[in-house]
Amino acid sequence: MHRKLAAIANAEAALVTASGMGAISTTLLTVLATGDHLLIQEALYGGTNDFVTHELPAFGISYDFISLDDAAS
Amino acid sequence: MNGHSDIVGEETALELARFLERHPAVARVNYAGLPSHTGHARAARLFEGFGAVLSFELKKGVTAAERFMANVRLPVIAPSVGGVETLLTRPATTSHAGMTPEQRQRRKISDALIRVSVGIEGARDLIEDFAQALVA
Repeated sequence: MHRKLAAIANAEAALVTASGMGAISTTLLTVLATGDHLLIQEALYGGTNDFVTHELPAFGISYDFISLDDAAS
Repeated sequence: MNGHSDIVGEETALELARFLERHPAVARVNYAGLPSHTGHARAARLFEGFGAVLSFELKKGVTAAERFMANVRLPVIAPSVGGVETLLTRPATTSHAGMTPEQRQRRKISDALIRVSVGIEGARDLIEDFAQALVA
């Protein structure tokens, strides 16, 4: 299935997760480590917002929300 | 994907957004496909199409939103997105209920905001249904 999905989307590879929250939390935990600081745009699904504000600090990862309408933010 | 948009419901979403924007009971429509949206130019530059999700607020607020959602016949009331059926939800009570009212207010997610994930129903059928639910 991964190979077929990648072919449909002209992508190198694909990874399937059981839910959108599975996808975004796996992605964030893959690229972030303790001590990192995350800049993330603020128009988020509620579950993603909760993950960033409640779960990431437990891993020692801090965050700031930025506005896509304001480059200075 | 492959140089064109494959998103089901996208054309219907634009028609529905235009209908809602003209409707006297509607206070605000959020859809990047409308020229009135602050992100319209950027979305047009970056994306192939504007997607099948939009949101709107009624002038009479939460009470009117609840009445509208009770009166529509075609959509299903559910917080999911991307289904073949049109899905309606009030994010303040579902997808974004975990945020504080202040956090929601900062992101312009009011208690009265109605989110629509447009499905594969005919645009005319959907607009007709929204029209009857808005006046009922």
